[in-house]
Amino acid sequence: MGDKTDVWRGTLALMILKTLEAMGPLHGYGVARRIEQTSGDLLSINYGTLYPSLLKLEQEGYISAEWGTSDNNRKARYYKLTRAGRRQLAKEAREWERTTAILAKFFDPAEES
Amino acid sequence: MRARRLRAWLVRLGGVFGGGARGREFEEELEFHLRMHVEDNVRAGMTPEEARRHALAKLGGLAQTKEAHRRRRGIPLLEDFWQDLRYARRVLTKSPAFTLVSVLSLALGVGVNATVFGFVNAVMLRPLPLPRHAELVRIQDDNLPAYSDYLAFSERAQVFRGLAAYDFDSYQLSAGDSSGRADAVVVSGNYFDVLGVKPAIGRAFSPEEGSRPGAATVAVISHGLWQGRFGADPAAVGKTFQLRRVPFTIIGVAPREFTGVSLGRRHDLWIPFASEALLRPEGNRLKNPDGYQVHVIGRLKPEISLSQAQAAVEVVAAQQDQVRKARLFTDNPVEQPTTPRGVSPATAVEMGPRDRQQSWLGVAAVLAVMGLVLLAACANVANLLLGRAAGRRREIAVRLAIGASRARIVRQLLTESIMLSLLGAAAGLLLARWAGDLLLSLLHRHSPAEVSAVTLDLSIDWRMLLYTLLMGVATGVAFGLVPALQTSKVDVITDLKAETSVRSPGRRWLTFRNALVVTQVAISTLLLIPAGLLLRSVRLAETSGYGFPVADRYVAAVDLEALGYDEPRQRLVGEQLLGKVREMPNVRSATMSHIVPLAGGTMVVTLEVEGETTGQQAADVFTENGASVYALDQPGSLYMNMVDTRYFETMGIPLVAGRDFTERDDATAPDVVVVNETLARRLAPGGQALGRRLVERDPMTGKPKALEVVGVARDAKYIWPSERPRYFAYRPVRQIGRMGLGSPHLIVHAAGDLATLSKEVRAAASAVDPDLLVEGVTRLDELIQRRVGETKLVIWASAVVGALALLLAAVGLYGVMAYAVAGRTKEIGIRMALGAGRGRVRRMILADGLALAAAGTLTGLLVSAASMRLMRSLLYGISPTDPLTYAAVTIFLTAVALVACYVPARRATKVDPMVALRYE
Repeated sequence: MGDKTDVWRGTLALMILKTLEAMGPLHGYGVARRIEQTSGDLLSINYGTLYPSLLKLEQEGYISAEWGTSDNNRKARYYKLTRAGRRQLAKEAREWERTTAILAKFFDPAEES
Repeated sequence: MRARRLRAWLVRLGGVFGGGARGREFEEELEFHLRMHVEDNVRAGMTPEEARRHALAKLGGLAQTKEAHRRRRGIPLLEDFWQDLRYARRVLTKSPAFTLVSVLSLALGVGVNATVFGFVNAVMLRPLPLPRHAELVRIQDDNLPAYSDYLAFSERAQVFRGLAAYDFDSYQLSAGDSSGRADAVVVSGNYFDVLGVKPAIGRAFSPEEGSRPGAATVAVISHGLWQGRFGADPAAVGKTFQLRRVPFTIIGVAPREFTGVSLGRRHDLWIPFASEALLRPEGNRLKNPDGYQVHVIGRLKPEISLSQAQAAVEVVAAQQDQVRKARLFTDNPVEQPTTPRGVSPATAVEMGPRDRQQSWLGVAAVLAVMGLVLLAACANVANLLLGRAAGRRREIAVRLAIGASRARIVRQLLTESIMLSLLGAAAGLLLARWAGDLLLSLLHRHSPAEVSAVTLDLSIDWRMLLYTLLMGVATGVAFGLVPALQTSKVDVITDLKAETSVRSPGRRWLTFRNALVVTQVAISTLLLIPAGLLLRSVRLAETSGYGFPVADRYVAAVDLEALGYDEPRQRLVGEQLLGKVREMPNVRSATMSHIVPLAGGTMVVTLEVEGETTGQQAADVFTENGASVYALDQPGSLYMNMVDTRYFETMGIPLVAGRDFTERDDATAPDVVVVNETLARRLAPGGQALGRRLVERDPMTGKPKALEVVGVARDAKYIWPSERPRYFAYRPVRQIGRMGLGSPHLIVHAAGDLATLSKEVRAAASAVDPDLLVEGVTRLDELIQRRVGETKLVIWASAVVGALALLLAAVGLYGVMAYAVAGRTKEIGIRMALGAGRGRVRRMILADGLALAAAGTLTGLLVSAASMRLMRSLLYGISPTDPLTYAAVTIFLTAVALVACYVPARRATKVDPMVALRYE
């Protein structure tokens, strides 16, 4: 489990940020479901692992959280992207693109020649 | 990125102490999460129970999620530590007796070490209390640079912002109608600037005043002199006083806290080198820069490191070597003195780098001995911890049962022991501060007058704090680790079931604890034996006599040099004074001598025995009729004294052969020498030493000069009351001249009381020359006592350290025996039920305790016997395995052990068989 989780954790943070950017303020359950849906249900995660990641992003100041009311009138904790989070997302997205571009070259030898 | 991470850490750090609010919030959040999920699942067609189970599974466990979130909220390691600390505090306050004994034990152990370190710190490590002290360095090796070297360094070594020089001198100071001795520091003009000291009133010297010969007779006076002699008059600046009839003007008063830069020297006033030309027109630094040594202290330029400075100084020193060599005769067989060049950080003590290294060896040795005491303290606490371990098995079993890991338990127990050791270290630090002051005041009381000006800063600084902190942590781990590992090794099932906290002691534990006690007793033996040997040796030396009588002998220092006359005139003054004293009614005999035996001075000269090869000399040094002679007597060098006529008569040292020096033994007469019996035996084994020759070589040219032995004096003690026979020679001062020998001492054999004699001698002195300083007349035995007193103090201090170790051992012994008795209650109960009397039970317990003590004592005695040979040279009249000392220490230890075991033994006899058997 070890190695996979580490890679997973890094990308999980990115997915959370991207989800919050796309959806606006969202509660933890919503983020979890959204990530699963977006991945086309290819990803199956323990929802529990999401919360420490949310907390970490909050501690780093990329997202902020506050209590609000959900659609069905329940008290829920909503997360939203901060300015720093937006910048971080842009930066990480660029890095991700670069990484995938490089990897793509390795897996597509046609372009090499 | 980094800033973000830091922010996260700060938030988490807050989380450590944040309490439970955030946790409750998260529970709500999770609850919402689950409810949403369950609703979704139900909507998707599951039954409510199924929906909930699925939601929980998907979450990955409620408890796990909460725990993961909790750990991310704070910093787990720190949280555990915080928890451990609070737990440790609770445990320690719950058993105050244990805590108190442990902390006191450690305070003693750390205290003696920190006391020693405090002195080392004050003398060798602590920078001088001056502005930007890190830049201050001294230049010297084991010898001091000449004034000419200083000039070369300051001119050509481009690494100093300023380089100052100074030296000490004493003068008769008269201001108004009062006069008295003043200890002056003769300094280069930039002295105060280099040190960064601003006078409290007035100004410091100008560069002009420092260098132009006779330019200025100005002085900066110390705060003490200002208060004592000038009534703390704010208008003192501008006033004049006289040094040796030369008028000086006060230009400044030094701040109160500035007491100079040399340990143990009194600083009454500062005068520039330039004024020395007036005080000593014959010989002074400006006139003869090669002939006078100076102390050199400098301030490095910023950014210059010690090694850069060292390199620069070495270049100049090498140049100075060349200059010196060119000036000397080339065929000089005597080794050339090399220019001092060691650059070292300026601390209170003036020491070259080599001496410094040597001292560190000594310091390490002393700290190693003190470390033994700390070891004993650690053994004590380890013992107490092991004793408590039994009582804590249930508690630890419970903690293990509810899921704590063993590592976690060990960490918890170590936290406890480190908390104990840090408390002990803190108490030890305070103890050291107190003991340091006590020792310093005792030293003041017991030391000769010339070092009474010692000002040592023993206050606690970061070095002291760091030292005690390191010791605290190290001891905490040292005494805590084994008990922690042992304690945490619990069998959960049996220990949880055990109803009582007292179990019969496991065999292995007892052995380890016993070993600790044996070690403790051995350590205290090892410390008490040398103290006992030294004490006995000193006592023996005192009762065996010095080789001369001390009754009715009086001594006074005569400061001939302070008169500033040339040599012939100095000699004349000395002879006149001696003549006057000899005429005094109560005086039986009087003489002048440069060294007063056993009063602290030494003079070593290079003298060879005619016809001896170097090899022979070396062999002779170590065996003299089977008994070893002081190894300090290097081949070719001898201890010697320069004496005036009637020295032997006045001192009461009989001449066993030949004659005394007479007035005719002057510079024009053949060179003569008187030797002691030990040297006479070397000169003529079994034969007549009179007429044999010693060879003296001129230090500059190496030209030999023969000295004829005209007398043989009875052996006496010269440097130390407990010394072995050593080679000793006397030379007539009238033949050599007093130049460069320092102040001679007047020695008088007289009847009558000290006060009268003192007054008469002073009157005689001022009749000869009003400027002649005669320091207080003292009884010879008092002078010797003062010197021996210092040593005795050190010996007593070591005895006290030994006694402290013994106290620790006694506590350890008591602890082990008390524990053993508690563990054997049932056994003792059975024994008593079967008819064993109280006396028998008591004897049984005492025998057990004494067996431990005996094992320790025996170990200590054996190790002592093997290692005390190292002390051989320090002992007088007794062997390093002196049976009496060993027996006395053994008896003392046994007595203490008996006392320590008695209480547990008595408790054993109080066991009620009925109760004991029902118990458990």
